[in-house]
Amino acid sequence: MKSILIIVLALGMSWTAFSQDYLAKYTALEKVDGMEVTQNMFTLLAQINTDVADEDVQHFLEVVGKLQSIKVLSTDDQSVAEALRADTQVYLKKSSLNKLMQVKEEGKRITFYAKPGATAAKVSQLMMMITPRGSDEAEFVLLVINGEIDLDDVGKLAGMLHHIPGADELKKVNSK
Amino acid sequence: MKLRFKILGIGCCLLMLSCHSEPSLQQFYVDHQNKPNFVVVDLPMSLIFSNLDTLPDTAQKTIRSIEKANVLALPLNGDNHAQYDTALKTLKQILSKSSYKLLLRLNFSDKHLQLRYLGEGDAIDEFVMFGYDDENGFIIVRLLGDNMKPKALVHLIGLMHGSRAKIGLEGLENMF
Repeated sequence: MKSILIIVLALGMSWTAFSQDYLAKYTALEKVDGMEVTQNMFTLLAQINTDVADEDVQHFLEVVGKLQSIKVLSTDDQSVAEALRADTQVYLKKSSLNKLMQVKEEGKRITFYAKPGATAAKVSQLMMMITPRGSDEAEFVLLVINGEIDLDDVGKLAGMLHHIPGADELKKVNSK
Repeated sequence: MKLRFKILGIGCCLLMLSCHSEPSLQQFYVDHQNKPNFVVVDLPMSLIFSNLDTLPDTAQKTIRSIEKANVLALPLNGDNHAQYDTALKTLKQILSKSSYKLLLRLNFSDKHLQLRYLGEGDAIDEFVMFGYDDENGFIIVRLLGDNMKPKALVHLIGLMHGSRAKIGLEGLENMF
């Protein structure tokens, strides 16, 4: 009995090591801006059944209906950014996310990571990290999307998140 | 052996905590509505529904599941920061109970917004919009109704855009 309990506890603890719980301490910080859309929201959105004539809206709701959560964190505080970046690298090493692509632009480096999904064009987790280069004032942004994500549709999410710094960068992701 | 007792002990504590009657948002309204500086407004739905006939019949029926809207706000007036801090802490505790399901959380610089609901996804009992910032104060808008469907909220937003019946939400809008 006791050994079963210990095994269960150990398994439980090893699960949390791979989870995104490490983000919670950052979202609580004053210096970190962000947004979180929960599974509850996506479930609700899925229930707004579409007598909507607009095909674009319908497609958007379909894309969104398969998502589980979206989290965005951003900060212009360099030490917080560095800590968040380091913790994210640890998380990436432990979980099975692969580097998908990287874009270098004036003042920033945008890296996409993804966890493979059911098919080649789908991922179950997408992470986007925007690291400022050169400027001390610029924002570090981390975006995490969980769910059944079709990479070709990711650009459409950019519209939904247009207030978020870096959301536009999502349009650069494609499955090619 | 010790581990088993620890787990039993924690289990008992949790059980006792959940049996404790917890403060509710309704109770918070009742406790604070007559206190100085608090603004409490019961919005008559007739005002919000003043141009309901712009919606198709099915939409009108869905939206009528929303029965009441009440607003509780505490504007910061320079003297009442301590009052604001205490009330905010209590509110955050009430809302973080798992029964208030989080839909969306937004934090931008010092402005914060949470959307939560009580009930089931297709039969919402209470919908809560909670916004606060350290310069202006906080505002809570509660929508109460009878098995409200998410679609009712969508219609409501559509109506409000159309009719400019933005009473009570002005404070919230000023925060953004």
